This record gives sequence, C-alpha cells and structure tokens, in this order.
Amino acid sequence: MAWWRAGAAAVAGMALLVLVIWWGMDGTAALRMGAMGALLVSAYSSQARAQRKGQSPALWLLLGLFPPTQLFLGSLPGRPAGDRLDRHERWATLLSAILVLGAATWTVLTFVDYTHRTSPITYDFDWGLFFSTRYDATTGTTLHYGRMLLSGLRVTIAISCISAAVALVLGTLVGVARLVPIPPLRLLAAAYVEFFRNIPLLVQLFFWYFGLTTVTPLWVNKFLYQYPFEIIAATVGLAIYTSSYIAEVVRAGIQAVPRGHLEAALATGLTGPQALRWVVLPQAFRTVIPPLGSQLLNNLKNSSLVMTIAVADLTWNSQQIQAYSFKGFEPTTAATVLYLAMSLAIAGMVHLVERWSAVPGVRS
Amino acid sequence: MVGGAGGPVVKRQGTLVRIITWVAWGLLGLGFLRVLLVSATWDWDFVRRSLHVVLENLPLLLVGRFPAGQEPLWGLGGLGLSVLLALVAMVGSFGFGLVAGIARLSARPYLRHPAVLYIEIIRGTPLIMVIFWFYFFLPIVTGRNFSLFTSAVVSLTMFTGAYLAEIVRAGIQAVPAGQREAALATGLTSGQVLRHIVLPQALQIMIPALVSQFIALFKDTSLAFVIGVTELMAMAQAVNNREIYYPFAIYLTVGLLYFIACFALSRLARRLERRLPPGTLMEVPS
Repeated sequence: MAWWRAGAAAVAGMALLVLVIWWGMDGTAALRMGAMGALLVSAYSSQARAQRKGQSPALWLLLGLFPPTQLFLGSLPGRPAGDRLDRHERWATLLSAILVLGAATWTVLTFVDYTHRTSPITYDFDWGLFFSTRYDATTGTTLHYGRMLLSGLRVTIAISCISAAVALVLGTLVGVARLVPIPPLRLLAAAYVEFFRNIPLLVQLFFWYFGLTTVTPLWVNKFLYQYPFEIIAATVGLAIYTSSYIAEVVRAGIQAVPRGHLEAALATGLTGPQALRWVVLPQAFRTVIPPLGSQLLNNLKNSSLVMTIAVADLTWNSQQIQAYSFKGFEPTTAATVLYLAMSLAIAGMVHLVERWSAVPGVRS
Repeated sequence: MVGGAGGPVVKRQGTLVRIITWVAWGLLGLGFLRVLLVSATWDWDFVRRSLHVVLENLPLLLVGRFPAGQEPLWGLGGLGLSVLLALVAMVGSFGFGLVAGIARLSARPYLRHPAVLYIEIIRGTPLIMVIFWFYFFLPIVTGRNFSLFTSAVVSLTMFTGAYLAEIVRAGIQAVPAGQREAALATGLTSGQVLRHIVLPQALQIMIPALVSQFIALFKDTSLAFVIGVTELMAMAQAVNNREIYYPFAIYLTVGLLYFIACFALSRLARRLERRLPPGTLMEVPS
C-alpha cells in the first residue's frame, strides 16, 4: 500500500508549512503554500498508485499535477478500456482538483494589484510613428523610428543567416562524428551535443560575451575588440547552440539511410569519406529537410535573445523605440509581425526546397 | 565510414591493431594534458579565488534570499524559483495545450480556427516577444497590475501551450484511425470516443515528446530574467555585478546547474521512450 507514503508526504508538507510560518509568513502566503503542498501530494500519490499498478509513473505524475484531466478521462491510460477511477480514487482526485484549481485562482487573485488603477486606461495609437522623423530632446538628435526598426531587422537577418550557415556545417560534422567508428571521437561529439543542448542559450550567450574574455590572453582580447565583439559572441553562441540540435537531426538522417547503400558504396571501391559524401549524406539530407527547416526557424527565433548582450537587433530596436517614444504597442506589434513574416518565409522556403529536392516517384 | 543503426560497419579489427589504436589515443591525451598542465601558464591563484567566489555564492544561486518574510514568494530565487516557474507553467500549459490541441482537431470551425490562429501565431514568435507582450501590455488591456512572477508564468504557459497543442494533436493522430471508427460504430458519441478510447492511448504515446518539451520549458525559464524575475539567471547577473572579475566561473556554474537538471530529464525521456509499446510512432511537426 502506498497510503503510508502519501501520509508521510502529507506530514512532511505540514512540517514544511509550520517551518515557513515560523519564518514569518502571513496567512495568505501560508494558504498558498498549503495548496502547493496539496498539489505535490496529489502528484506524488498518483504516481505511487501508478507504480503499484504497473503503469507509466511519469504520465501519472503529470496527470497528478493536473487533476482535472483525470476526471475528464473516461478510461485510464495503461488500463483496460472502460476501467475507470474507483470510488476512492475519484474522491481523492476531485478533492485535489478543487484544491489545486482553488489555489491557482487564489494565487492569481492575490497577485493582482487592484489598488493601482481605478479608471480604464486610454491609449492613443499612433501608427504614423514609423513614417516620420522625431526630434529627441534628450539626445539632441533626429530619430526615424521606421529606419531604426529596419536597421534592427537587418542585424537580425544577418546574425540568423551567418549563424545558420555555420551551424549547418558544424552540426553536420558533429553529427557524422557521432557515428564514426572511432570511440574517442564519438564520445567527444556526444559530449558536445549533450552539453550545448542542455544549457539555455541565454546562459551560453552570457558565457561567451562576459565570461570568455576574462580568461583569454590579452592579445586575443585585443584582436577580438577590434570588431564589434557582441555581434561575434552572439553569432558564435547561436551557431554552437543550433549546431548541437542540427547534429542530432543529421545523425537521425544518416541512420535512416539503409545500411546496404553504404556497404554497396564501399564494395564498389569508394573510400569511407567518399561514400559518405556521394552516397549517404545526399540521401540523409533529403529525409531531414523538414526537421532541419524547423531548426533554422528556431535559430531565427532564438536570435531575439541576443538583445540581452546589447546587439541592436529587431527586438532591441523595438524596445529602444518604446524607450524613446513612450509608445509600446506599435513597435512591439511591428516587431512581432516582422518575426511572423520571417517565420512564414522560412517555412515556405523549406517547403520549396523539399519539393525541388524530391526524387520523382520516390516518397521520402 | 559510418555506422548505421546497428553499430559500426567496419569489420572487427585484430586485437593488436585495437591495442595500438588505444595506446596512440592515450599518448595523444597525455600530450594534451601535458600542454594543459605544464606548458600553458595557469594563474592558479585566480582559479582558487574563482572557486571561492562560486562556493560563497552557491546558496544565493540555489534559493536566492529564501526565508525573507515580506518579499514576494518569501524571497525565493535562483534555481528554486526557476523550478517553481517551470512547474507552475508546466501544469498550466499541459491543461491549456490539451484543450487547444483537441480544439485544433475539432470539426467545428468556431473551435478550430481560433486554436489554429493561437498555435500558429505563438509558434512564429520568439518567446522574448511573448514575454514583452504579457508584461507590458496585459496591464494596459486589463487595467490591472500583475506581479513579475505572474506575467512570467502566464507568458511561459501561453508559449509552451502552443507547442504542447501540436504534440497533443500529433499524439491523437498517432492513434490508429480504426480505433476511433470502431468506437463510433459501436454507438459512442465523439466526446465519449475521445474520453474513453483516443485520449488514454494518445497520452501514453505523447510522453517522450512531453518530457522533451518540458526540458525546453525549463531552459526557457531563464528568459524570465529580461523582465526582472529573480530566477537563476538574474541571480547569476546579480552575483556577477557584485564580484566583477569572475564572470567565467559564475556563468560556467550556472550553465552546469542547468545542465545537471536538463540532462537528468533528458535521460528520463530516453528511458520512457524505450518503455513505450512497440509500433507506437509519433511525429511532432515542430
């Protein structure tokens, strides 16, 4: 029985609650904490129940975290059709659902600050913002917001394109290295992929931009600072991050090519690299065009993060315009629409490439 | 020479050749180590101080200024707040994605079209723009102020919800059509078919994709830092601003913290993938 485990979790939750109140929380916070505890207990007991019955624990952990799903489902995953929650399970689920939904509502309501605004906000739209020049008194310059946005667009496109190209080459090399029968190389490639895939891009960008130059020798830094270093760091960071995803895609593509093709190519006398270049990779790339395209799309979307290391890209410039003009809606809408348009354009191009590269009569 | 799914293609080499290969790699590694330790000039004092800075600030990176009574969420910050953000957004986006994914497949246009619009717009927009929308413009639209944590959670939920909706759709479509048709033929209504037949199977197929989406969500919480939520990344920046000279060590530590969490999760995803019943295949259009 897992009841004792659920009980132990409940007692632990109570102890935590007492401790937190001891630290000096008000009643509201304590209530919220209790609700959070209820959610965890619900998830835990649901997972324990699944484990007892030999079902997937992870799925039930998830279902426990979102109790309404359990009530909604007529039959249960991993059980025979028509097998519903029994009476105890139904009551437990209903109780935790009420607790969790109540806690969520309560939390949202307490976070809302009613005191600040009593009258409806009025906002006058000014879409002419982008088509006229404004004199900026603080800097004493004349600004053209439309051109600011376009210069940001240019930087975004440049960074995305260069990093995508670098990532494609790097990713292919690493993806091939993961399958080469040389153990150290394979290990190194796997480490590369796992390391760069599991760290957020933001951390990587900060590492390249702020961290790296504090440990590199002076002559390296002197060389780097001749150029706009933030753009170099952004491009390199993006390229490495995307390449770790592309490596996985390329590996999957190569593994999808039937083994016989490689063996036949080797049997005709091609060397390993030749067989790779002329027989395996062309087929592999044809099958992975759609996932590759979505990685390039992600690359474009991820390029918006470079604003955090002061690259004046589209996102950065839209926020600059807001800072200058106190108009937030227009530049953010414009930037969003531009990103959407670029995403659609990339999706369209990927579709076209897929159609052009298809071998007639062969379904990929 | 590339190994296919079954392992390396090359014939098994002789023992002597293998020993020689490994000895050569070992010598190469030793040479590399020698360059690192002897030839390269290391500022060992700097290394020691970096380590000291990291260890001194580790509690701050892990839980922020946690038992700090009057602050929002009791001063919880750092990795703790990242995990909390991810957890809350995960619960919310799972429910949201489930609803949107089912609506996306609905035959009723007044359900399908809004779902398609929502999914496509969110998936074509960078997360940072979504965060800006909810942080700057939600207060204007609703006339109320929201806390930083709430804005971050709402934007992460809406963002991940769109991707989860696609996963739900792919999962439902991966359930063989015969199941659905047979259930309809027995006289069940379409709602009953969804609840009793399709979703229980689809949820099981979706698990690996769900877990990898939640890994992405956990990594995405680092972006909440741009609006000033004191999660791990913001804490790292705060520490860096105080300790000026050690960004290398600090951001490396933060990277390792994220790596440990995400790598463990991705291993879990791989294990779950292996446990799936054979023949269940799902392709997520990402």
